[in-house]
Amino acid sequence: MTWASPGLALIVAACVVPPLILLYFLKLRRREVSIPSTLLWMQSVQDLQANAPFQRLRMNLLLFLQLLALCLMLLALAQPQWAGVTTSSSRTVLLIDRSGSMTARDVEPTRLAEAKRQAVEYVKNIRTGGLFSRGGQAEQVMIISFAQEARVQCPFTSSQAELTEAIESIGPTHERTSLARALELARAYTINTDPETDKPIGPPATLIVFSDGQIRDLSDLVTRDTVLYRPIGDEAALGNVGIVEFGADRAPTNLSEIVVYARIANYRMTPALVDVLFSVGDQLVGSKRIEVPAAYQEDPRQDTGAEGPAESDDAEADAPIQPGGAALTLRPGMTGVEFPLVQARGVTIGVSLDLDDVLKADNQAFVVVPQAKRLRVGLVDAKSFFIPTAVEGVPFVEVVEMIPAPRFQEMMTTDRGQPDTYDMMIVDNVALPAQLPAGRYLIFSSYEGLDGFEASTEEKPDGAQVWDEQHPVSHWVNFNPLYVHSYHPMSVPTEAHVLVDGAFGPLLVEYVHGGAHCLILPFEFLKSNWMLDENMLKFVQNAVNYLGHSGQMVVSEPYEPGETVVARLPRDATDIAMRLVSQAEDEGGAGAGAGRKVLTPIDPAMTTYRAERAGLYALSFRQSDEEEEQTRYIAVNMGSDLESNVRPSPTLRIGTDETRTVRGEDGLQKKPLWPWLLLAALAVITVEWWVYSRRAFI
Amino acid sequence: MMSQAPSQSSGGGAVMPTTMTGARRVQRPTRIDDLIDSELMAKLDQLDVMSRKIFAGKIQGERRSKRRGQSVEFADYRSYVPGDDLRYIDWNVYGRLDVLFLKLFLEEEDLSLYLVVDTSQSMDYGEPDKLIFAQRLAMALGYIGLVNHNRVTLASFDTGLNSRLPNLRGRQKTRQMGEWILGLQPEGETDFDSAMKSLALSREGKGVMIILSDFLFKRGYEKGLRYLIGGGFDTFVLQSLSPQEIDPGGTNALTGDLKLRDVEDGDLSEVTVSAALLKRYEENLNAYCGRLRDYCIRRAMMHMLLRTDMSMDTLVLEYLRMRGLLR
Repeated sequence: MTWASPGLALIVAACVVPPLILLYFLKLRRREVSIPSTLLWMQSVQDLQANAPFQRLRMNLLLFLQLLALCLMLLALAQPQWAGVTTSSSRTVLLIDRSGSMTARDVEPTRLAEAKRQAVEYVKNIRTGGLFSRGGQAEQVMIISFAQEARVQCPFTSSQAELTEAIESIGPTHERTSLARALELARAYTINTDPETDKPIGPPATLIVFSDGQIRDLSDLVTRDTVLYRPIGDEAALGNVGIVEFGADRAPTNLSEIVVYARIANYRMTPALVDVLFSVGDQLVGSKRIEVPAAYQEDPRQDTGAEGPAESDDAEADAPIQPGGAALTLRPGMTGVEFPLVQARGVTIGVSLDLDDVLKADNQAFVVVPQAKRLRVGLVDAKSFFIPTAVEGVPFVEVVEMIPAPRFQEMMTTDRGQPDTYDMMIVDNVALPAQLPAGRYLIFSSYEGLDGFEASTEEKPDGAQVWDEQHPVSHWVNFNPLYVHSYHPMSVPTEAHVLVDGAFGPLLVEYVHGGAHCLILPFEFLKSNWMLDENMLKFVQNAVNYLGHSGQMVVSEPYEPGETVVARLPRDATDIAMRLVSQAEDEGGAGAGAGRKVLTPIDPAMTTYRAERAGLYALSFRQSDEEEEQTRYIAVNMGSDLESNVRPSPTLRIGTDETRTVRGEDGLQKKPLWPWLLLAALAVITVEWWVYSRRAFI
Repeated sequence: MMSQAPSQSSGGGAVMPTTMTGARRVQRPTRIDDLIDSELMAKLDQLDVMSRKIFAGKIQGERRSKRRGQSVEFADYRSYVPGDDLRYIDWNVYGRLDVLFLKLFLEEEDLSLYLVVDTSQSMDYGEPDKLIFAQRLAMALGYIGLVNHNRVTLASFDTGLNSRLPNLRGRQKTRQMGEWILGLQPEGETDFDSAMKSLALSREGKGVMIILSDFLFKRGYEKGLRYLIGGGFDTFVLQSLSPQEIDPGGTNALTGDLKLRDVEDGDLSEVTVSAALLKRYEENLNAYCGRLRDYCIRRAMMHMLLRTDMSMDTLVLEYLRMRGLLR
């Protein structure tokens, strides 16, 4: 029980109650009636000697009722509020999970809608400042939604309208769940100590997590805040079946042959018979009926084996606390399925599961396979043995042509580039002109001639420190072992995109300028340890594919929801727009990715888009010299066995601390009681009137 | 529930209605006809006051006496002794037995009837007024006494024994008695003890004592009544209460928050009238009247509770006859 304005009620009580009692003392003026004898009346009335005031008060029912009504009204004025489980603090952060598993439909309409409903219910019951205060006593609430990223939907406020609007604006995503970012964000807003004096400057905040508990990074977290957990979801609901991995490959020997493969996970405790449907574009091309084995529970403490799902990062996917105290981990039943296709042109391949389960988003997946193309690669003055060998090993490379340095110099000055002759060129330590003609180049060491690039005079050893893992050339490449024992660190123009950075300068740069698209490594190949590293082979393969296919890979790797889609478009591309052409059936209205989204390039040749929802996206654009609109397809698949496991967790353990779980009305905060007190006062006044009438007209 | 006379609407048309407030004005009877009308007088001619005891009268009257006298009613025989009046020798017995016996006859004497009226301030209350009711009842009973050649003595009391009208006898004294009764005015406090003491000390003979009062005495009635025990009176205690006293919640009810003022001693009592209080009052009144009745019964007195709204015809011709005061 808390009071919104106790001081005001005390002041009013001090002003009103004594006068009321005084009025009763003054109310001694009675109608005088002569009677023959007061003998019998004296015997009948105990308060005949009624000039004793407290005897009068004790026996006066009317005064008692009036005082009772007045007290009730004064209590109403103090605005008491009933507290259920509560947060002792006056600041609360509502963390609302909007990850993929929250789109499950085990509660109607979705878990996210239920979480939003509970959050709105909470907001409706927060302690407001009272009718007469200026908000000093009001509870401040902040709304943060989180999935892979966290977002402040509404900063601290006590406005219920703003908070409700912010909660309603939270849309579903198919992203993975990460609570760390949300806690960091909340901590940034709720820090309550002065960094200089380390003294508290405000009350601590309480965090309330509205989630199904399927959060991947819980064991790594540490929080000092008070965290309450409101589990969302039906623990008794039937488990989910979903596609956790999907891909396609062209056969190196026959580019027309495509092998589509998928991995299906079953989180039910019974085997699931599933029809897997394969489609190319809009056409259904085949189906397979498979049986996915049932899920099982295992005790991770007994799991010492080196294989199996226990080794995966998602091993703590679901760890319900059993009555016996053992934490059992649910392991899904897995099965794989392959489907061969013959398709030379670029296609979009989809796979979907024909079954009814609680989560629809992982029942379909897409992959984009560009048109099959064999590359012509020009190798300029290759001094090492390793580079030609690596290029020749790249699938889909048709011709590797050795180009002497003089001829390359001549090409640079007279032919104005190589578009018609080579899909890409590899330049190994050959002097370059200031302006490269249009074309695609992988350049080792000899970058000094290019405009904007400068080499340090000092030679230094270096190693890779950080790199862009999302870039296609980084796919399956570990730059960590890369070590260059001697090179001249370079400074690059601002428009260059550093892909790998060392201690003294960039070690890999993507540079697009005037039609020339370059990947530049500032060190000589032979002065690094890459010649003995398998990562070099993968890098060369990625670089050849990336440059040779004009920014597209042979098979585009699907993105995961929450990842930033990076599209490298022609510099003169206009009218760039992204739209979701195929989405899961769990929309429940316009989702975050629905509709046509007009994009603005962040770079003349690069456009980014953050896809929150799974599905097949179409990126459309126009080139100034072409009337026809061009379209590229991008696949975004859930592909997360953590999000596919939709079984809600009844408890939430952050690090080693188990949070307090609240359910239903239990978690609601403050309910104002003053309307009920006013009603009670009205009832007492009614009774008082009735008693008065009964006495007066007996 | 206390025993009381049946209630009927009053027949006293000459009496103006009263109010309960101290500022009320009551039109008191001014003529003997206001006290008793000729029709009632004709009915009362048939009645007589009945005593449960036989008293010795002062003069020869119409009532049997304990003494042997000269009436025609035979009482007993006794042996003749010289000097006896020869007229009373039963010669028939002498003829049969040859012994002289003297016939004794019952003496017939008059009856003393004492009518004592309470004229204290408390009797000036009620609708109908208690004092007017007492005046009319005293007039009726006194008339019966006069008609039957009883020796009627009237007295009034408040703070003491006030005035007396002694030894009226014969119908021709009706006017005198009526004028005395008309002259009674309510005033003063009640001192029942001293009044009864004075009455007992000044008695001129035994007889029927009828006391008309409300008996609401704060100092009690026990001591006063005790003076009458040894006097040889056949005492009738007629307690008259107004309907407003018997049922304060009825007609002209007391309601709300009141300051009750005792008309005699000015005592103030602040009460808030409620159903519970009225119920308590009724219980106390019943208990009070019950105690008075028990007190009277144990001392060979007759107690009657009369409502002032009773019609005089019913009261005199039926109720008092039924209770044995009249015949």
